[in-house]
Amino acid sequence: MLNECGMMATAQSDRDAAGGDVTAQLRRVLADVLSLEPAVAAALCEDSGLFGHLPELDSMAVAGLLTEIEDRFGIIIDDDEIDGELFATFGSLAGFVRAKVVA
Amino acid sequence: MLATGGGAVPAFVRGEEHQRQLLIAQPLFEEMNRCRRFLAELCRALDRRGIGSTLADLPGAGDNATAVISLQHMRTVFSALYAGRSARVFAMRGGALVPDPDAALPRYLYAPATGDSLLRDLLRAQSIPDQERTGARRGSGDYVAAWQQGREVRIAGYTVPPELAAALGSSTPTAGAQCRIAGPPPADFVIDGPPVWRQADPVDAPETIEALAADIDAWFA
Repeated sequence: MLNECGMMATAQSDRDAAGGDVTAQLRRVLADVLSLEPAVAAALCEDSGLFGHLPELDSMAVAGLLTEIEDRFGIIIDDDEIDGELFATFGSLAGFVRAKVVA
Repeated sequence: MLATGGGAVPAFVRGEEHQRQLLIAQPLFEEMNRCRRFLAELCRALDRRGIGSTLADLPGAGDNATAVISLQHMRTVFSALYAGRSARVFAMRGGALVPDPDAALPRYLYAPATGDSLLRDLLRAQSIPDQERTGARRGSGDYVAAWQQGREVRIAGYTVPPELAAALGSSTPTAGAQCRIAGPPPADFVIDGPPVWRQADPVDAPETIEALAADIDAWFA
């Protein structure tokens, strides 16, 4: 079964370390915090632009999103880890979270 | 306005005629605004089930013009609301930090938040726009330093005195024997509704509200 990004969404990839889980969980976090349409959330893949592309993600929403990410993934995000690049794409955000989760 | 020992407290009271009464401890800071509609709808749903409610604005919150001094200050005012009444408490998010932990008071906590996470969220809500505006990385260090020097600070539109910051930094929601927790796991009642307290533009959550009202109804039997 292929999802919107043309990626194989098999049980194996779902079990792949923290990687697949983080991607799916992060989509849910974005959907919940930004009240995204399910189709919009499902369509998010590595190259999808976030800040500046998703109208729901404006500077007011960023703080709440970061806190929800901290709560859901059990990580702490320091001020100095937040820069413009973090929210550039879904991939940049997912990569950041993945690295924190394994650390 | 409700009269308490400490002065008048703005409050919405619904269903005064019911035997069962619930005092609502609202979320803190901006979360209170985001949850206002949710709580208003919950109060209506509870009223339909024969449970009255009191939605009060504590010092430093909503329409209460009294400045907040500390968490203990909020706690004292809140305690005055249930003195002499056989009411239970419904606390949402940071509201779970408000009721006196030592009071033998049945409390229902929905999605309780720790003081530390609320403080981090508040600091972040200020430092991100700060950075956008000035281009500099101000960070929360300045605010923390101000508190350490005994100065209150203004963060994201809220005046936060050092006593409140210190209390939040070390507070966790109080549970206890007469406590029921609802929300994401771990919880007595697992419910996975939309996190309206996080949403810049909160959605309506009628199913979550009905499910909560039904569970509160059973808890309050």
